[in-house]
Amino acid sequence: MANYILEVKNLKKYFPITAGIFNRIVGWVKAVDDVSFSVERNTTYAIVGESGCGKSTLARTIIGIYAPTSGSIIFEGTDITKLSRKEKLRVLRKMSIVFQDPTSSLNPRHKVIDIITAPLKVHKISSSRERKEKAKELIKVVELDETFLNKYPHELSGGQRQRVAIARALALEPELIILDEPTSALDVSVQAKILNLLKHLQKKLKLTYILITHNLGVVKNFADHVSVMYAGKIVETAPIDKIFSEPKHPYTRALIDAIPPVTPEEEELIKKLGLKIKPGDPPSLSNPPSGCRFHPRCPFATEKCRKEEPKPVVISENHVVYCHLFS
Amino acid sequence: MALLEVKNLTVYFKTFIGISKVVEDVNFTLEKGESLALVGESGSGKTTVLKTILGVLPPNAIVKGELLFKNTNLLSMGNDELSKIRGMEITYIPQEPLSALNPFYTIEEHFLDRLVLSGKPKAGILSYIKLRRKVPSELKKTMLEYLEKVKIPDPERVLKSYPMQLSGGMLQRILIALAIVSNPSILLADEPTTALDVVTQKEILELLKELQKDLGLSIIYVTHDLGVARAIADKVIVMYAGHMVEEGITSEVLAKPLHPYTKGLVDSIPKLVGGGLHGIEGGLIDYYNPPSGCRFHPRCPKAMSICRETRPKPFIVNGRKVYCWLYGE
Repeated sequence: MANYILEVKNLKKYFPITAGIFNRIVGWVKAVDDVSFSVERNTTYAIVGESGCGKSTLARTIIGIYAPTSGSIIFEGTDITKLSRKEKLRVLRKMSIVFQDPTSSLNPRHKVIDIITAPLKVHKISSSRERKEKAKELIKVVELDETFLNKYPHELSGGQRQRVAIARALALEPELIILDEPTSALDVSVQAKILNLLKHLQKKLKLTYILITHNLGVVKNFADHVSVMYAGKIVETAPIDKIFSEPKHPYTRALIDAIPPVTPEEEELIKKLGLKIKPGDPPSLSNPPSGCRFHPRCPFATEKCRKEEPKPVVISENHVVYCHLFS
Repeated sequence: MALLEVKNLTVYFKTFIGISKVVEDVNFTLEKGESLALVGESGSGKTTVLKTILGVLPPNAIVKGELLFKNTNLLSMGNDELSKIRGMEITYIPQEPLSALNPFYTIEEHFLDRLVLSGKPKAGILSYIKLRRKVPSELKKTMLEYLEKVKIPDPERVLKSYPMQLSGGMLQRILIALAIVSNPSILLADEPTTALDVVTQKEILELLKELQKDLGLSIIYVTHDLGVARAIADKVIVMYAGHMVEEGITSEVLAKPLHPYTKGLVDSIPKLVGGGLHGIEGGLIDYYNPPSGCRFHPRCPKAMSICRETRPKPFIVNGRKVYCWLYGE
């Protein structure tokens, strides 16, 4: 039995659409619709998909920014959706998050030292002298020197800001860190350095990551396991080597096809695995298509896809695809 | 004869703390029907080059060098003359489609402005008001024709829509249609797919390539994504800190980069096949006080003493221009 740090079961997060003066609920945006997955300790679990597929909502629901509509989030054996507010805070200490854009996730009026010790203050963990010591320690962990502690975010470059955000995420000594597109606002040369730092920290501090991204190149080089999301649902989940050697779901193959290759070897692989789909946009989450949500764009769609929602099909160990083609 | 010839283009900005030396000695030519990618990280001056060609730099810019478009220098032209070229012969697709269109106007009204008023510096408000009353049917036909050219489904409905009612991919198609409606010879594209999802990005790139072939367009495409550059452009210029560092056929440059910076950049990209991740040490330079010699030398793993002193000349290696002393002598 694998050692799971986090298990998400049938998680749903619906946002209400309201209208009129009484804010009558006229519909729901089904941002995360019946999602289940488990994350093994000390690994990186990636969730990929296009913008608007619900991947960030999923991350925010796990960490408690949004309350789930239904389903359970089991962290180290306890279901955090059933805990009281006080107990929940204690569990959530072991989880933290790094946001996408470090420019807007760091308070421009606070110095770096206040930013990275803020979590300690919120959870009332240490005295102010201890916090100062902790800040010095944290800034070294992310490979910056102590002079940065007295700077403001605007004095830092994008890469340095993201390092500060990582230091803040590490302040409570978490076991699980959610990385919500941690490098998409950065240049490639900086991105590589941040990813290397995160990898190094994972080994050193025995961390577990959930990586939210749209970049399959990053996934290939960083994650151990990946789930592909489309319109609020997981369509395929597999170990990294499987997804880049035998992707099954048409949408996964479409995502691979869309990568602009840099080298001839990459081009060859993309040609082999990729699949052209009908042009169009992801569906509206308030009124998703019936049956398989991908069917309007899928080149293999049949009558069954239009009517029935696909059930999970196990291809091999840990490789599951939600598609009628394989049942 | 080259369609566009950029000679020793240097752009400085005068600011209250000194002169920011943003772009220095950029040289390239663009032939008819050719596509060229300007590649570099944020802050490398690639957008500044594009804005100089378009003539939309802020007033504190100091521009030296020559921009020869069909053998006339754009930099010495007056505003009236320039407005016949800018927006007509040379057009532009911006990065962020939603902020490039006016949220208060329908797509049809955007087209109307473009078809009737652009190229006329003194059109006057009266002609504008007259135009708004009723759209001539021949103009409407042109609009529909161009929307079909960029493969927009249901163009009639789209013409009546406001920008917020359409998706990012659709808006980018509309911006492309607006850019090609004046039958330009050069299309300047400033990261037009950065704000889009990968699947949509691919569709837009394919559309641009098709239009380039059909209309004989020349494209200058600014991007930070080397994969996108490879998909769209025959020729690539890699820029670092306002200097050109390497110029050549895109697929060759990316497969076997010669300049240490290009190599660092290619190695930084997380790829699907092979190769670990290596970043480049250090950060971007201070433009007020740029490093002497080769601007990349403080970060270069192979820097020699000559790199600190003298700026490298372009050396021709395997039919490629490389601005690096490693290939000198």
